[in-house]
Amino acid sequence: MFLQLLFNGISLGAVYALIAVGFAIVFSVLKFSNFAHGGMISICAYIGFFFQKTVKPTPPIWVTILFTSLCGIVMSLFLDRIVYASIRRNKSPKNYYFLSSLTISIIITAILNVFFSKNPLAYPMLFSSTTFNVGNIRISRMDTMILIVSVVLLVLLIFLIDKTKVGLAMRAVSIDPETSKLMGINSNFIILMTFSLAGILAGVSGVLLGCKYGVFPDLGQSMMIKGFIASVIGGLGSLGGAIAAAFLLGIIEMFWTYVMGSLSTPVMTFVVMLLFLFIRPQGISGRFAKEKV
Amino acid sequence: MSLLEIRGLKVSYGYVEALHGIDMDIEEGRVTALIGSNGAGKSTTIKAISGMIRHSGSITFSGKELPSSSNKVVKAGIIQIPEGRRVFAGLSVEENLKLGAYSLDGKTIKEDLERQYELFPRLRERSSQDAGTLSGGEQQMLVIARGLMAHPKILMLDEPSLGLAPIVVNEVFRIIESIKGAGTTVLLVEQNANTSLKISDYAYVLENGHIVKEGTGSSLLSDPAIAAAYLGKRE
Ligand SMILES: Nc1ncnc2c1ncn2[C@@H]1O[C@H](COP(=O)(O)OP(=O)(O)OP(=O)(O)O)[C@@H](O)[C@H]1O
Ligand SMILES: [Mg+2]
Repeated sequence: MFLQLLFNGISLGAVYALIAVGFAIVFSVLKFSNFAHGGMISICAYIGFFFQKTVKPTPPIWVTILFTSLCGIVMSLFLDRIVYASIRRNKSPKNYYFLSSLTISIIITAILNVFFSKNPLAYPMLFSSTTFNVGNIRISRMDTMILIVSVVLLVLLIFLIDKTKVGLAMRAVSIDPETSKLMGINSNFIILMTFSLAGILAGVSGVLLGCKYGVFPDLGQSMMIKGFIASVIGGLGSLGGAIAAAFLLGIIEMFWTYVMGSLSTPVMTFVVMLLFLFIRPQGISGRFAKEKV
Repeated sequence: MSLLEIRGLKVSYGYVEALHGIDMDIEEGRVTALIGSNGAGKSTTIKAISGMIRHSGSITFSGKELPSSSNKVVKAGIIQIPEGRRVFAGLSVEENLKLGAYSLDGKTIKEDLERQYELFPRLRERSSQDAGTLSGGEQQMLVIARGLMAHPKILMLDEPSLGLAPIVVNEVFRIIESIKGAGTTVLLVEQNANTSLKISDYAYVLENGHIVKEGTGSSLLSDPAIAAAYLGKRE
């Protein structure tokens, strides 16, 4: 039982990690918490659902993920263009980002609520049998798929940020945007990259969460809170910290739910966050924590 | 024709004009100094050239109008080393150097790193250290090396000696002379007028956003008014 819970916790943590990184990446470059990410995840979940359902013959799940990620990029860039770009241009206070991103998420959810019911739509069955056994632990195929996709994406992302020229430029901008300009870094390009990555993350997490929980208007917003908390615990803006915190949160949640029942899980998440902020206000990584919203 | 020609350069911060239309010529292969007291507008001039702030008036580089966005200015080979030793704290020394070469295609990065490590052996020893943990002098060396990574056609240094111990100041000026020796054009902004006039071919004196004097380094050094105002000597 222990191993099974641990595995489920890790798989859950992997999705939280995708969401947390979606936050952390925007936060580290632009220094604001992009709450619109939740709404984006919801839309992407619906896009993935209808793509999977209407395209004939039914595409393999990775095609759906790819397609949804592309839609995620387009929406993310669109959002930046119509909302955030003007805030940047006018050099408005950070609160504007906070308020507008929150508003966007609420609007998206409200619109989805008009068209769709609160009852979750279930993704078509992806696997003929839902579980397989390793030794005496039963493992869900769905959770395995989620874990693999998330980990692959996270590894790619870390590689991009740590080892490539663009990644180095993104880190430079996150540390000192003015001096970055003197290196010849085009800040508009870096912002474009940042929102594209956030869009990909929203797309992938939307499909994965939709597969796991079904698709409903509040899906993104409710899950976003977990990702947000993970990125706060991890030290806002730190990718490594956010990922570590997300896995931790997934595992704690699984065990908590097993022992205490699912009703108190939301409380648990906040308790964990508060405890962490209390013990280690600088976050796991110890950076950027002072600027959190 | 000079390499960089500045004509009627004006910069305003809000409603306050900081530069009131200055003219400067920066000759190829020379060290040109820009001296002046605090708040005279020296950094503002450099920032305007770099495309960091909006300006009016004209700046031409090799006879062509200089682009106004900072990344294009860097791409053209005009590199600013800002005041206050702005290293990227949290990134390693080597990552800082690599960022200096961001505008290049990356083909020569190995040799370029090697060249900087030869020029600044202390940076090699610390190549994987967090740049934010370097001493002030080491940070100044790092930002100069980072600037050189871009193969600058014009290197603009904003008060590179500020806040450094005298021995490190000498080191910095020695490096600037070697940069000039390698054929790079230098625009040197300094409050340390004495030393900078000694190593510069030509110099401008800026006061409250106006150029009030210009001339060869040696002629300004022997100018009694300059001596009184900037060299700490009595007339
Ligand atoms: N961002 C800004 N906003 C408003 N005013 C500014 C700004 N930057 C500079 N100024 C003003 O412009 C004038 C010139 O400043 P600048 O930084 O160019 O001086 P400086 O010659 O470099 O001085 P220092 O030797 O102290 O570095 C000053 O009066 C300064 O107060
Ligand atoms: Mg200055």
